Amino acid sequence: MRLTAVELRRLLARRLTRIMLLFVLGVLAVIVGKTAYDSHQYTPGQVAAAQVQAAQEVEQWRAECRRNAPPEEQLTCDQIQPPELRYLLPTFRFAESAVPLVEGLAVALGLFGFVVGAGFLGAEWSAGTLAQQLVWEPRRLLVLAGKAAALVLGVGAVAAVMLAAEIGGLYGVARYRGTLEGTTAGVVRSVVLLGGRGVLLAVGTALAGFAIAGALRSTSGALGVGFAYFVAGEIAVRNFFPRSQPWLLTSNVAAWMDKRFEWYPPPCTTCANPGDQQVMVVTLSHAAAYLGMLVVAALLVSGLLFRSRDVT
Amino acid sequence: MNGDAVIEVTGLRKSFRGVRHGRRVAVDGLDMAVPAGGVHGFLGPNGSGKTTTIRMLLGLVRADAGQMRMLGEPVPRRLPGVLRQVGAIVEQPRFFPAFSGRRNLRLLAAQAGLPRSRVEEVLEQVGLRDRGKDRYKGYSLGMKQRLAVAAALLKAPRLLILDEPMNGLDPAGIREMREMMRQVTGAGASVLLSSHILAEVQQVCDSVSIINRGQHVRSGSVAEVLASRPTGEVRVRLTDLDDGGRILAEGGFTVRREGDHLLVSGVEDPAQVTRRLAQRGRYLSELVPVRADLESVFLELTGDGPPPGTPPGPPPDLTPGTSPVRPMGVPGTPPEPPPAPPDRPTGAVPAGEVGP
Repeated sequence: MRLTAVELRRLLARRLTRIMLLFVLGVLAVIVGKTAYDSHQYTPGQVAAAQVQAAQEVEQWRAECRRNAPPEEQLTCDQIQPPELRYLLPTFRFAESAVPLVEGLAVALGLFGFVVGAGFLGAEWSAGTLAQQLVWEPRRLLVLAGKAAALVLGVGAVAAVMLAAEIGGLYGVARYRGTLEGTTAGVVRSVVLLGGRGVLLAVGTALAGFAIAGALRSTSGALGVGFAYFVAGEIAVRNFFPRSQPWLLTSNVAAWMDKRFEWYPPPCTTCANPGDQQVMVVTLSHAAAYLGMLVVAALLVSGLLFRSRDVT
Repeated sequence: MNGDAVIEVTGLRKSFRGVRHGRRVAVDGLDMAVPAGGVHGFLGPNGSGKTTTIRMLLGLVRADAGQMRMLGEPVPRRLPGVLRQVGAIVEQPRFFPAFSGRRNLRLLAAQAGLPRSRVEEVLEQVGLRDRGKDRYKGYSLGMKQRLAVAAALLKAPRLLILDEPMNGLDPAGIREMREMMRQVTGAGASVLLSSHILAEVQQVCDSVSIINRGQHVRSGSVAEVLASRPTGEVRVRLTDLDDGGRILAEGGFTVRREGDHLLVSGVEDPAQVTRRLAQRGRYLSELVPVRADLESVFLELTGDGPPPGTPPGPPPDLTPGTSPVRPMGVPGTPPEPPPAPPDRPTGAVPAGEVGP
């Protein structure tokens, strides 16, 4: 416990942590600020004017339809509906627009977690301070567990606060500058649960970065592995092995955040209806199990290497 | 194993696997004991296995074979308990560069459950109290070394292991380090000091262990180790150096003039010199046996120095005409046996005393 408290102090005092914290705060500020800037509440006069505009527009569309449509299709022109007011009076609608914005911040927090996690252990290797620490506490797995626990607490707390601030901020924007129309208790609960999954995503990426940096004994090594995987690995695998999508990190992260991820395998050539496009789904439970297993495996490998290798 | 030793090592072995050169043996069946109390020097050339041995003792490197005990406990099995009483610096100081010296120490103190006041005490002790708030990366090498010493002292250790602690220290820093070691040993602790500054080791250490190629070469008190390698040389002063040199050379000694005295080699007993001169009616004003220093003993034992009996310094110039003293003896010719007992006590003659 004492070790975790010390590591937590160190984590929060690190410059990289603070820089990344500023980055996430910037993302949060941009999301909430731009949403508030683009959102408006309209006066009854503006609504009435929009309704008039909608009525005029629909009459124009119908007249044009009647001029151009053949006689047998003239009746369909009367079925043309006026444009919805939401398109004429754009504003932030919490029930519809909160989810992608929360997902956006969650992805930024995932990046934050990976970089902070990798730097937390990688910096110790590059500065050589792990040797210093092991001269004080030689039980290596205990040392590693203390650091991992501090990382979980630190990154988890930051992610929770950031996502709570975002959800609260967006709710406030909707309440005072947009609309809460359709925002039922179920919608709020769903957004909060999404935020919770975002927190777990940040913690998971932090542990993954921590484990890779521990195994490679280098921050830049871990960042390089992450970069190479996303830039080269995923693109190549997705293109050359399209059926591998259920096992790609991005597919599973998308499924984790959206509760499902649909993907389209190459058209079937041997099945009953050749050429039919199948729709495959990566489920939330699949993503949870797969991502969780990867993080645990990375931590186990890192821990075993840390326990057995010499510190020189 | 010796119950009075703070460190005991038996048959310690460690090899590293290299990518290019295959397996390299760093420590090869090392036996060593560090007595309790005092400062014990741990000497060896670069690559002789000193740091690897220290790392194995501290649990940073796993031994391939052998047994180790620290403070009477087997390590690495009992290392967690033992390390609470051991302070250590291994090679270079290692701290977080962006944190201040004080913050670095506070993190270590908090980890060990030590009070913050202890941090201030050790900062004061190493003379860094006023610079404690500065970032570690802005420290000079000497300040970094002092901070490492402060960290090692935080636990008020019973055993202090210092691996090259004087690196980067200026003369004043080296003197402070020496005083610190004396303070620590004065309080009852033991110090294992690995250093290549041999003059410093000789000055501060009570005992030494010398290793080479991962193996034990010699150990004992500094006096014992020095005595184990007599130089066979005496420094002689008398009124007429040329005359005295000739007489000694005729007696089979190797003689070289150095300034206002003669350096006589191949002397098994200084009495041979006094006797030879007295027989010819020449009397010494000074005779001082030349003692080996730790550096020459070290170089000789580790194979980097001249063979036993070779005088230190440049080789003697025996070419006729190049020295005020002619070749005064044939190397390898044994000195004449003493024909008569000395007419005065052998050994060093007090400076300034002139014979009859």
